Amino acid sequence: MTNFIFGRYLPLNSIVHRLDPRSKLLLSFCYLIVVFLANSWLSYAILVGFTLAAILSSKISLGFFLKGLRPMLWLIAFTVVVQLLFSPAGGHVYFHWTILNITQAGLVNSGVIFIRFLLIIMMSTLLTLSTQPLDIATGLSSLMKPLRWVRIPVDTLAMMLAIALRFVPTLMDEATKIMNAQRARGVDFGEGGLIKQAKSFIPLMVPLFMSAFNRAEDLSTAMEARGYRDSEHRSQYRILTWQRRDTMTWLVFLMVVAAMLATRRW
Amino acid sequence: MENIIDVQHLSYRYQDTDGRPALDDISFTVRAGEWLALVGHNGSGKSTLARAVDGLLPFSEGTVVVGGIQLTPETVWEVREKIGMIFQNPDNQFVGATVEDDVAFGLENRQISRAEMVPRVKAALDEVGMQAFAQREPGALSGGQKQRVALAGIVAIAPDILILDEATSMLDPQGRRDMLALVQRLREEKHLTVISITHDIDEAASADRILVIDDGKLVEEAKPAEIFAQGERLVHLGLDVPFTAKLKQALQDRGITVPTGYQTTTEMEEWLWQSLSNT
Amino acid sequence: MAITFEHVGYTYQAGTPMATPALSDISFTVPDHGYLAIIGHTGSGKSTLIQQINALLKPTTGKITVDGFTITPQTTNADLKPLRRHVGMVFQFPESQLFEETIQRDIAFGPQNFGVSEAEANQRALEMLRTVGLDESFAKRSPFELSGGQMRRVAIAGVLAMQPKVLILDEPTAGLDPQGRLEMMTLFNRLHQEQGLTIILVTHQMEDVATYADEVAVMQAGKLLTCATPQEVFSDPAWVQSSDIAVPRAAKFAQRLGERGVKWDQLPLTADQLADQLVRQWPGTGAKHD
Repeated sequence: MTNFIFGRYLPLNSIVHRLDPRSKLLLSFCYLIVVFLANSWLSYAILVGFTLAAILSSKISLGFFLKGLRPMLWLIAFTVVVQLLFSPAGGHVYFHWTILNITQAGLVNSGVIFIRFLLIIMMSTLLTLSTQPLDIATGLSSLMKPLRWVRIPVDTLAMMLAIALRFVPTLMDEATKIMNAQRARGVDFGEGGLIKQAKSFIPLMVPLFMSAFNRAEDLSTAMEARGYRDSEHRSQYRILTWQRRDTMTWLVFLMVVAAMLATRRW
Repeated sequence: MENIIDVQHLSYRYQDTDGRPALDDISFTVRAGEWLALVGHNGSGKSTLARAVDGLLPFSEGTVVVGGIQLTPETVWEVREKIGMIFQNPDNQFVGATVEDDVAFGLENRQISRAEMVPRVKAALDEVGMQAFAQREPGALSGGQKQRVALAGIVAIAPDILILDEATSMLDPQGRRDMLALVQRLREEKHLTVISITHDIDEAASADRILVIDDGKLVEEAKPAEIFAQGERLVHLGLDVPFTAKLKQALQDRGITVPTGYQTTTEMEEWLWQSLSNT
Repeated sequence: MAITFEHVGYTYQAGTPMATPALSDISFTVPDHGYLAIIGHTGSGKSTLIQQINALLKPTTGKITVDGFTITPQTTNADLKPLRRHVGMVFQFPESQLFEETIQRDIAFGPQNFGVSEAEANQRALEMLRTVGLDESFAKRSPFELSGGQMRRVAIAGVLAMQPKVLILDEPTAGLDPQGRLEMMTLFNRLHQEQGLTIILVTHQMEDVATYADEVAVMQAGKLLTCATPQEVFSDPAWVQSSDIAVPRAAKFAQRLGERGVKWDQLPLTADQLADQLVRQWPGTGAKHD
């Protein structure tokens, strides 16, 4: 569990950390499309170079990064193997058994899938490792602002997301505490058969839900007492500012995209 | 002095079917600048009363007037402008993701511009000595620190009345003392009216007047010294027994005649010294 | 049940970059039927310390002996279950552990996990309800309709129903009103006196330390400053000052009288002890006692 870094935040002081979260969110999204546009080895090489450069400038050690990706390896390996064995015929056939083939086209295909997978996972991991959850929430709600025009309650959703994030650590602590209390009463978490394991979670989940409900009630009273009426009629303390470094980052990114497009097979 | 809070014949039932009302025909007033302590055992209705004054409960009988404004569904936001409230559980009133976000929460609700918010948040944090923690997340703070952040959130709004709903009961003794000292200082500086709901004898002793609530009724109203003079009976009123009262009881049990009324520790020390030297 | 700590150390997330030492080189002994209070500021390691006793956390260094059980960093979970039956643990705000549909079933939950039959566990539940001062009419009610103080009693009954020999209490009176606090402390003292339970109490209430505990352990920044009788710990004003611990009100008051010249045989820690010594010196009565 402690090695699993996907979705975690690592507080460091780097240019990547300091980028506007909107910048990073949008860039990650664009990157997703760009990865699927690449089709030549050279265009992939350019993207790999860009990804490595992005990780290096985040000051997060590559070793930590790779170690953290290890749990994802099974998922990648599985996809690659499936791709390898079930891909259509084409080129030289290396292996054939009933419906399973290993062909040249299959090899190339699975290589491509592997690289795409890795690039996307690395970039999205970089996003979460270098951006506080709260900033992701603020960035998301800021990017979603236009959806107000189609009557989507963006501000309320943003408030809900922010409060949910705020209470994640609190409820995690609470869960640990309740788990300890039940272990002291003789519950073995994570032992025995599936049914026994599932049953052992009732003494954890019921109190956790009760506690969450009580907290929600207290919180809503406190919010009301502090003048909260609705999410639309509020000003914003936390604002995002687009800096020079964001513009620079986008320029670099656009150049990379241009280079990639130039080297792809049309 | 004028009355900043005037409550008349207030009754409240959580459910219409409840036989006993949670608040039963309560009337009292609070003068501007006064410190009033509400005491009573758990479940006596004292928190319910504080919530009713802030318009957080839809009471049907009685009137509440705060700063000259009668509390109605239409005026409730106006009334809340005048009241800052701190609750018991430090975690469950911390809305913001960081200390400064939390202090800003009340200002955001009032649609204060960001340009005005920034200095107000900073000043409020300075006031409670939490400026160094501005960027911290609540998980990194102690209970006492969270309550100070909650106070900063109220300082930023600058209300006339501060209600402490057992705000110190989940803190350790050090956190409790710090919080009490901070409230006393803020009250002086900002000329606040304070209502504190408490079991703590030191907090109750800071009050000008104590109201005792029992079973939803107002059963007693007096100065702290008069209330404290009840000695061991205080436990039934939901208050700690002052040390001097315990000592007097212990001496009386051993056949020594003790003075009546309530003595501070200094007065008690003086009396004992006099008695012992009187040979 | 006697408890012995030998050079116990504990580090959270040991072996990771997030490693934080919480306890270092802790050694002390609680005798069978002892009553130990643990005091210290928030974050000094009190809660980490007590979780070692029933191995919810296992020491990273050192050894703990609880009666016949030995806990070392190598001990496996399977070896620990019998230990947990004997060491009852009341956490802070224990009412948050309630989950069953009825109070009786919640109290019976612990014993059943340790192999007690349902019938017997239910019987014990009724007994424990009475022990904590609630009557049998509560048995079939939902724990969630109770007041906070009543919920806490039910949670404590759930721990007592396992018939532990050691009872660990982590600030058991936090959030209760004075009446509730007094009743709660009286209950624990009765269990200690009548059933010989070894009690370990984590507290900020120095009055409770002075009134109930045989020994007091003082924690500071993960270290054990001292473990001695309350009399020894509170009687040295210079040490108390330098260790930044609070003293019982009676002791503080007696010290002030002491500065004016009143002599104490030993420093009184409670109002009763103070009164005893005052009576002996009282003009007109003192002579009779001498």
